Amino acid sequence: MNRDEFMEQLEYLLSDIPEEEKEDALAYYRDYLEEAGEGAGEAIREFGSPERIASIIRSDLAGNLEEGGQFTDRGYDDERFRDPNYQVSKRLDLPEAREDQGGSQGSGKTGSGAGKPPYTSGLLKAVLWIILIIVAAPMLLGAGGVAMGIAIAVLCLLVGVIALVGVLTLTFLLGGLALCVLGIVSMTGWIPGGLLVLGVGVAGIGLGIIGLLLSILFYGRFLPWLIRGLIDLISRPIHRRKKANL
Amino acid sequence: MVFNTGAALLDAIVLAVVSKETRGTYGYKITQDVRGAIEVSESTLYPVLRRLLKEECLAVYDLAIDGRNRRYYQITEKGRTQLNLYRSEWAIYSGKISRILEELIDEQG
Repeated sequence: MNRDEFMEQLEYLLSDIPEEEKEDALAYYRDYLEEAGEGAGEAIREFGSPERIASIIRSDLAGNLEEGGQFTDRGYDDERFRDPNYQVSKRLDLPEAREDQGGSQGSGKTGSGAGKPPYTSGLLKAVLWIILIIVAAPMLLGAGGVAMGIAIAVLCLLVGVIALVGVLTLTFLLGGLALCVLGIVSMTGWIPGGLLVLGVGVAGIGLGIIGLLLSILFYGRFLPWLIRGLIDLISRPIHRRKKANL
Repeated sequence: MVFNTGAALLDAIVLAVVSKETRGTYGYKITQDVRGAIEVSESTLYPVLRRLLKEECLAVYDLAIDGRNRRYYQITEKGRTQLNLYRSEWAIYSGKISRILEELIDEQG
């Protein structure tokens, strides 16, 4: 990282502190690096990173000094964190101390939890799903209710049509047969009238036979196809979900 | 360094370094001078200088050098008083420590 990059980043990192403080700090570090001349690279390396310098400036501004913290040659010390042996304990949350820790303990303790993957678990997911389903249930029931209503209506219509075809076929067949019998009987009285009735009866039987064929087609082909289709329709989402889970 | 330099001692060293320059001195030079006595990281002194300024132990003025401003630090009267306090305290403290350490060496030797 060169001088300009360092200053640019530092300026960005300090963009939310009071303007005067920012200008002072930036001027100090800009001057410092310019005075360092050839040694600027070394100085920047020793600064650590713009983030570290920015957090030193911030912790200073945050009034930690007034509360007992102090900058010493070893970085930031805080009298309140003295242990009984009068060794000044390091505050691990501050960058100076962290740097020292990093030196002696490797990178393990530096950015506490920075490299940790986000916390997830199967149980947590399951619980969240259950909550989601419970919350969304009224909506799902509403949408489901409408869909179910439409399905039932269509089913009723189909049953009605099927029943109607059956009833009509039966009526034509029985009616035609009855008219034929009536026609033959009435031919004994008035032949043309009897013939007409017989004709109508034959026509009725004909229609009945057509109805019967339709019914056979209907009950034998359409109905099994419909039932298969319905079963398929219902089982498809379940299958799909199973596949998705696999 | 084996011994820690506390905040007060660091203040004393910085005040002493600055007081040596009657016309004032600047951040980079202060750091290098302080490093002549104790090990400090290059980033240590900004908060210390800022605090000494706030406590009015130091004063600053800007001077144009090579077409840019250089901020000079100068010791104030208050700073000088503070430095004298530090000096006398240090004489007592370091005297006692030296005596104890040297006595132990004498006994061993």
